[in-house]
Amino acid sequence: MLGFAEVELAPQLIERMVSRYGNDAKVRLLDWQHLLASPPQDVPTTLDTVNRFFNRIEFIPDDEHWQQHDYWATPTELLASNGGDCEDFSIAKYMTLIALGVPEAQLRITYVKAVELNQAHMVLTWYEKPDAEPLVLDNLINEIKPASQRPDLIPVYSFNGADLWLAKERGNGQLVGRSERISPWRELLARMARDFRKAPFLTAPAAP
Amino acid sequence: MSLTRRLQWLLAVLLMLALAANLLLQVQRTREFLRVQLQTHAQDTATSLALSLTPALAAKDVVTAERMIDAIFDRGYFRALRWRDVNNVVVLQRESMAAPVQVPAWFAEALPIAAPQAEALLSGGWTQHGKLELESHTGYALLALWRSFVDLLLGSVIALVALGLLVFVTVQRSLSPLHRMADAAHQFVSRRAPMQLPQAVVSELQPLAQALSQMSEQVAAQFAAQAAQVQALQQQLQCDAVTGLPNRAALLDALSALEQQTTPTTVLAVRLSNLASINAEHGFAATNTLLQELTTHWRRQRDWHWYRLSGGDWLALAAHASATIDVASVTPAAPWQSQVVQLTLTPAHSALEHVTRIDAALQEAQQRHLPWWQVPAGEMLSTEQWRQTLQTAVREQRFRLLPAAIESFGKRLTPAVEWLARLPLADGGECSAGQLFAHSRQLGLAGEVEAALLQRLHAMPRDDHHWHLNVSASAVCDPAWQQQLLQLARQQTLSIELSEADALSVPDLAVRMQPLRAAGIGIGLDQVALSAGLLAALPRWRPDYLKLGLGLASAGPGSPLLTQLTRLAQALDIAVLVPVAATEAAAPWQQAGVDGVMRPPA
Repeated sequence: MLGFAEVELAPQLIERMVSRYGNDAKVRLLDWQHLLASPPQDVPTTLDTVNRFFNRIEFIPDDEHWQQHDYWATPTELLASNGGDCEDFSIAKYMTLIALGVPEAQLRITYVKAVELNQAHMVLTWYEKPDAEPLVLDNLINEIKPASQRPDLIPVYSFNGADLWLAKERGNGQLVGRSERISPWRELLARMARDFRKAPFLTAPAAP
Repeated sequence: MSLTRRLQWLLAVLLMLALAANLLLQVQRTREFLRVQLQTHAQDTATSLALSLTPALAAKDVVTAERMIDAIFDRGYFRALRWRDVNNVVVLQRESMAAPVQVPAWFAEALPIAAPQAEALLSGGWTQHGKLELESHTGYALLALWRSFVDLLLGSVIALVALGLLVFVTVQRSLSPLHRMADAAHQFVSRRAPMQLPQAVVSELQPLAQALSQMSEQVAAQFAAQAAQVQALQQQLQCDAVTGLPNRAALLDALSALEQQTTPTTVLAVRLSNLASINAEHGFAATNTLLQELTTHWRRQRDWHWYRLSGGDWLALAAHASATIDVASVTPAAPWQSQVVQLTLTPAHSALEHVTRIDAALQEAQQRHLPWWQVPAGEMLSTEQWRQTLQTAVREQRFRLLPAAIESFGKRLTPAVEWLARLPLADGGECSAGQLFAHSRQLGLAGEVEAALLQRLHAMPRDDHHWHLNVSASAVCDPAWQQQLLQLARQQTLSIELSEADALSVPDLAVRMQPLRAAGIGIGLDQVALSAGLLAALPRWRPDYLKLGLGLASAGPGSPLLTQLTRLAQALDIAVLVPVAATEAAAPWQQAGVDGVMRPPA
């Protein structure tokens, strides 16, 4: 059973997001805070709740939504702006599940190819056991299905959270070490530290 | 250690420390760079290999997966590679020797590079297959670090040598004006050269150069003022107050100068025998007027130099050999009664002997009531006889050297022995050094005579005394003679002295003296009479001592002129030496500020 997440949004964040995105942003953020503070549930239920919670948000490509190529938004930015791409969904779900107590070792962010859309895509996968078939949390569908039931997705490669950030930073041509030394990741954490009074995902992932 | 050496060492050490620090920082930076590169390389390889393995793992083709792993591992860049399954059990492991090649052990121990590790998840489709762990081989990185270190070390050594040379030259050049100034000051103090400060000095040294220059100018100005006082005193003390003629002291100097001549000199001595009665009859003032009129009359005779010896005694020295004698014009007119005596002074006698002879002649003329008396001249050697005498003396080394003791009263003058040259003559008499120099110069034998005198000195046993040698100006100007003297100076401390007249006859005496000064040979002036030009030349010559002539010495230790002269000499650190009689007390001279006395040979 998963416990309450000790997550509390900073008042300044809500004010800032309201001024930028309107009152609906505040509602969505408070809903998220409420979700994080919801009573403990089993993992499948938690996965489903989190998946559905975020899948309400509209899919908008980065170029259109953030006027940037490949912008990695924080969960609060995703919720407040009520839009994001597959990476933003996966990160937001990943952090929320960690906050709700899902072991990080069971979560993987997986690069896939969406066969029907013929697009690069990203999903969050949950492995009950290391050698088990994973469940796929996808923003394209609300239902969480085992991987074997997702013939529309071809897995390419999986990372844990730290590796994901590491790989992305290397793509920018910088020399990197462990994920806590990646400046954008730390910057993201710093941004999130302003957004939250306290949150478990502000702590760097354990060394692999 | 000199300032130059200190600065050079200090800068060299600082340079070395800076280069060592730079070397250390560069090596550490390279080391960190290599470590990060290794880490990146390991992580990239792990990720790439994991991605490459995905199809084989999806197909459960372990053999292909192994070959792919071996293909990467066998490149040799990794020390260890492990494949762990999802339960952390090692499925496959590869390891190689981690020892770095071609790198000294001490270097590997001193600057180790930690082997970075990387890992990547292995998956085949949706299924996880564990993880891949990779550990880099540091050997290549360590080798690269070692080569970088060697290159940097070589570069640093080359830079150190180049900068060291630059520092050496720069310090040397920067301080050279200071050295030149110190050298100039040293040369000045040690009398080897006049104060010559370098023109172009760095700004930091300009105040020092200006101060030294000002100091030098102040000393020169003070000296000039004192010299003017000395000249004024000399004028007063060697000049008769009533007639304005030179007095007895001045005559002594003039007679001393005769010693340097080779020909006889005609002298007229006049005694006013009724001076006392004229004084009684007309009074002092009227008598003085009469004396002044008489002086004016005598002064019109250009061929004669007149001196007033005492109240009624007068003397005229022929200005040249062809001076004519007009008895009528020389003899004083009425109311004067007088005796006029004509004498011929030969250079073989000293000034005091001349004075004694003149006094005796006047006395005799007065006793015999002779208004005019021409004293018969003594016999003299002819020029040819002198030539033969000198040549024989040189050939047979007949010269004698008599020691005259020089007593010193202070540090400015070293106790010494002055060697006085004498040549025994056939008539039993002796020829003095002045006479020797005069005749040898006239006969063109100066070089031989002075060389023979120097040989005579060479033959004498060396001792602890400081030697004073009388030399002529021509000898000082002769390089061969100088070489002989320098050879003697290497074995014996000595000073040479020239007569004042001789010294003034050499226009570039200071330059001529420089080699002798440099060899530590002292310089003195003999028969100092404060002739025109001497005081102006003293700051240039800066002799070690002045030996006063009879004129100055006869004024006695209480003479204000002597007091002023000793003060002037002290300002230039020049000793003053007075010739005294064998039994004369030295204490009054010492109290008068004189630095020493010279007694005649026993």
